[in-house]
Amino acid sequence: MSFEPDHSIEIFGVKWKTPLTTASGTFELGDMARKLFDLNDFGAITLKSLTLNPREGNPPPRIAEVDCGLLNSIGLANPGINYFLEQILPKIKSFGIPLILSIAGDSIEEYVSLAQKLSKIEGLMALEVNMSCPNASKRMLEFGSNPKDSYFLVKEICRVSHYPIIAKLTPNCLSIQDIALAVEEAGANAVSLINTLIGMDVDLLLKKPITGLPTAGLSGPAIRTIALRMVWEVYKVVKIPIIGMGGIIRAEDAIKFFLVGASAVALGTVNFIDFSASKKIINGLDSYLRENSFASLKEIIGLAHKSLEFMRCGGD
Amino acid sequence: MIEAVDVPGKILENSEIASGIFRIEIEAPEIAVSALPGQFVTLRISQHSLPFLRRPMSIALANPDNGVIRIYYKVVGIGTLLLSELSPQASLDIAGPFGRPFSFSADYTKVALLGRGMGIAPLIFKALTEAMAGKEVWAFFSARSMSNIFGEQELRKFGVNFYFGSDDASKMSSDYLLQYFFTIAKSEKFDYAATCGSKRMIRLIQDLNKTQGTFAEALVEQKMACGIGFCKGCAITILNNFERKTVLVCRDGPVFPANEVIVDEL
Repeated sequence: MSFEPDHSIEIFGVKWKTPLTTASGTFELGDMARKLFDLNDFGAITLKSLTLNPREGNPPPRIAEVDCGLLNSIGLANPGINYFLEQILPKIKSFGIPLILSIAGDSIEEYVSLAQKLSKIEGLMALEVNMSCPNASKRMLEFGSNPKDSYFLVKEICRVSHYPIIAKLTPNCLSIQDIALAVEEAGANAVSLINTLIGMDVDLLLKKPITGLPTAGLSGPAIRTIALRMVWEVYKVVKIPIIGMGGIIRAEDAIKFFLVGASAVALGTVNFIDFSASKKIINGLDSYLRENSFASLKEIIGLAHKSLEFMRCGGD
Repeated sequence: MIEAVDVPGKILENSEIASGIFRIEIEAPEIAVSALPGQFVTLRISQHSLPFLRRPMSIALANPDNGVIRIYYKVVGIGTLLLSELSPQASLDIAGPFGRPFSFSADYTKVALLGRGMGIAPLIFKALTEAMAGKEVWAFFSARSMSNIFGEQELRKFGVNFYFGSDDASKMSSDYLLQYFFTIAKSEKFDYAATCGSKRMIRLIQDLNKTQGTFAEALVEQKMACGIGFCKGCAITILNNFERKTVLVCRDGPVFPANEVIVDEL
């Protein structure tokens, strides 16, 4: 018997037609995206982080391929919030895709100022707080790597924004559970995890680090098991929804994230490689739900935890 | 207007033409119909994660009539090694065409093309396009070894003045080729010059631009992750109206006016 499983979800009271979004910094909404991707596959598009002032980014080389992954030290290159609001947003809003805008700053004031500016814009889905870019300032990374700073940052942003707030968490911290709890307490409506892990590689010929900045953010399948473990841990302690990401390139990967507790997943580095990954993931997810007789995606979110509880209870 | 598409291409030929250098022909009519000299395609060599990224490759020829894209590549790492092992009839995920092509104008009639190593590949496409448009085309190609210079036969067939030099040559060395080019440039007065594959050649045509007003363009390379402007990985700094400006090679290039290129920073 064939049926259409329901893969829609609801996060912070908003319905997503699919559980897919894009990981900030890996997608640009524009003519190229419309030509190569099927935007209907995404429940929301998360855009590259915006800062108050334009940022040129880090010196080249900014990227290096590694085994099963990618190192990047882009450094939040972006045209700045004002240019974005005037020149880019009007055009991409006309595409009719739900938008999540990511903000990043060097100080609480900068984040607050960005959130205030965006609060005046109508029609966004949510704001994501990038408190975890490993390639920008040390200060930015610090926000996300200790619970106290994370708490105050998110609290101040929530105070000035009427949009749902997603806190993007870094894996480069002592306890991601503590950070997740802190941002939930501060009023975040969802968490997304994980950002890249800090890594590096070395050029044997030149005998120096392979990227312009010696250390860089690692993404791709190389970090997937770590991301899964962190979503697993965070799901155990928070009630707000989790947007899971880290090395998802096919349907099986995405399904694992749902099973450990993600309500939605973000496609990141795969956007550079497989322009139809979203389609394959949606189709694969539907097949999985059908084959396992689940009427909807909601039924499998966090299911891996339940199996464990069952074992602990001594069930047969 | 973006013409790029992502399609399953069919490999028609994948053969080693010199030690470590391969010519691959892929049937991809949707790309061949709009590809221009200077643009590139990206190949997803494996559906698994090895190599992880797509590989950007200059288009060495695009034939809209039979839908075939030709690429030359050198085996330098795992990606090109695995590519070299693919057999004819196999399917290969190919996307493009991407990037800003070389300029084309009926206004210039004498064209000089300077290529070094694998940088020869995109200039073959440029040379044939210009020759077919009735231009007088001069090609100056060099490589480490004589056997690594390709394209001679077809370029000569279309009446291109073909000169080559190599590091291992006894008569026409790479150095001598460039000296020779400079002598010819003085008498021939090229009104367009393009280069790929060598910093020294970029400097030469920058000089030509300054001293003779030759319109000069350089195709530059940078490591890319996506090739479509998303990742911001392939940034370089150029001089635009005397101001330093960060641009993306994949989208703003790979072809730039030669006088904007900061050779020392490539």
